[in-house]
Amino acid sequence: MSRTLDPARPVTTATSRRSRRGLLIGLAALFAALLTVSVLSVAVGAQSVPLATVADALRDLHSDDTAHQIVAGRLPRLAAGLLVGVALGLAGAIMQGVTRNPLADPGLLGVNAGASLAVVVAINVFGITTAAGYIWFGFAGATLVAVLVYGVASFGRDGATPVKLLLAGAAIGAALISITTAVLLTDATTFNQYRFWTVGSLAGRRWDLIAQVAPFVLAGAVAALLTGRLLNTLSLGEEVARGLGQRVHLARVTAAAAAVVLCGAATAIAGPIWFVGLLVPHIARQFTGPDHRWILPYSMLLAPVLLLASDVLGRVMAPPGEVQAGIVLSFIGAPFLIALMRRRRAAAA
Amino acid sequence: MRRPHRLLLAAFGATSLLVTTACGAAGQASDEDARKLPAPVSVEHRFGTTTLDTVPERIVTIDLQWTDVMLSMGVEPVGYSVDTLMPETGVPWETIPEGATALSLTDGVPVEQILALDPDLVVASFSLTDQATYDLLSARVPTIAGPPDADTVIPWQELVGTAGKILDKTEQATQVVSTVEGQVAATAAELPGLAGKTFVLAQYVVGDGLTVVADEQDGSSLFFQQLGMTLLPEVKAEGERTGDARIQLSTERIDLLRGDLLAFLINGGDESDLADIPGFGELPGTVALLDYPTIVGLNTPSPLSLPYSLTQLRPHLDTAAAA
Repeated sequence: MSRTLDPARPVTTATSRRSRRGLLIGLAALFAALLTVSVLSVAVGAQSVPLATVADALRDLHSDDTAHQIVAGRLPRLAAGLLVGVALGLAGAIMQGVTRNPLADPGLLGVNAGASLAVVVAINVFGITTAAGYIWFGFAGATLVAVLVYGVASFGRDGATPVKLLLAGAAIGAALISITTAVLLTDATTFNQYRFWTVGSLAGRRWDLIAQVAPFVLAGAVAALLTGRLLNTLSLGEEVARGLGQRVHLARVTAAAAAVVLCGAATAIAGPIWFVGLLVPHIARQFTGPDHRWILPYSMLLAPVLLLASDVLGRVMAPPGEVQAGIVLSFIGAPFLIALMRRRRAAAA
Repeated sequence: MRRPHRLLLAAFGATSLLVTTACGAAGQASDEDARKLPAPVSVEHRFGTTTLDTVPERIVTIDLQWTDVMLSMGVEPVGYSVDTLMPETGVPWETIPEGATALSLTDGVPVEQILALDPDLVVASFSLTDQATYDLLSARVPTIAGPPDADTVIPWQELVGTAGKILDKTEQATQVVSTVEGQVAATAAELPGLAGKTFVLAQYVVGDGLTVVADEQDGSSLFFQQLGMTLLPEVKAEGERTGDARIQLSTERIDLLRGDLLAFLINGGDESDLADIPGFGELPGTVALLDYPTIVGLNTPSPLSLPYSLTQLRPHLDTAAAA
């Protein structure tokens, strides 16, 4: 049965097999899961704080009490996980939808590399040393490269086809990464600063950083959730979409713009925790089928659940140290993705 | 302190594979007129045992400790590695002789460049951890690598002792050790209040976590112990549990920084980043925020670095002793 679900197949029949009610219940369950990991990420850490103290700290924070400070320190970390998760989950779903390629993710499209290089330039050339200062460079870098990739892919007769987009992204990304590496290898001081941003951690992200980025994630998320119908039409293939009166180019640019804003924001906070963006839409499709109006909200909730769960796990798995959320996520996510890929259904982007 | 970027750079060590044949038999040229050691000296290290029969005259030093040890013994290395995180003016306690070649470790240990210096001994500690690189070097030049556990720092006294034997200058080695230990002992005598106080040597890698020395036997701990202090028992216990000389800590584990003296480096940031460590402002002991060279001088101590770091640390020692 699943073999019949190739990408070009009209989505309406596929969705009708899954009841709207069932999908809503699934969404509610995901929301409950998100609440649970959120509570865990405040209650569980490398330093065990009694639950009563956690509750005390949340109710009435004594800023001179170390246990209270520990709890207070977990809150921006939770916020960072939520924002990054929401952003990457949605961005991954959109990118896979726009390019009609299940392998698309911000890393492959060069957005990651653009943001990284911009941050390195911020540190190396402009001497910016605070995270809150150089996030804007990461943001601008992501946007510039997205525009560049789309521009390069648009050359030629067919315009920006999915394959050309991926190739342009991979090529530009590779070039940018080599420049970044060259700078980092020759300048230890820059590397030292850059590390904060590249370890794939949610630790040490502060409220000022969160507050700067949050509006972008919120705006991007709202825009992204509205692109479901556009992505559905695009998934029918270019000719069909055009035949249905869809302005393919505009639809793609609109959706991609939302994805770039989200990627830029996520990158600004946590650096390259990209895997979640690749993985989550695949899991979401297991439940939703190929209807993007459901894939998007599912991905939006599922990604922070996975990211926060990885973060919590990373705090307790190697005491007295921590393992970065990005590493835990890749570690548990990779086999999971492989298992999913082995089922043909997952290929229906 | 293990500098995280070395982990990245280690991956590039393999690039030096091209070297082998080009540098022929140059290394053995000076054998005939070399001065014989009274007895062969064997040094055990990470990759085995290296035995020397003659006194080396063209020495390449990889890592700061060895450069310092050789300089303190009056030997000018023909090549020495540089630490790019040190100030541009150089390592504050070193005067590098003119003519010595600075070696960058950015692309791994530069085997070709080292062999071009025609050395008759290469000494290294934590930066030579790649077997292939060691094989390349040791096939041409007697090479001494670091300890089996790259996270352990060899006590500088031991390095000076080794240098004394290799150079056939054991008396001078004894003198170097006693002079520097004398300075530490004098400080201990001036500050009897340090006796029994606990110490912690740590760094915060900004946005990631803390690294703390957790082994009493480590070369960096001996200095504090000679001042009469003891490693914070909780840190020691964690080190014994994990089996590591240097342990990684979550920023939430502030309890493991609560020594009477905390010698601390903010690595990759500034004091505003201390806000990431809950309770740092309420630490009960004396908190000594030190710059990179001073912490390196304490973390990988040498007969040259310790007097410098001791001077930098002194005001904090005074405070800790009086507390």
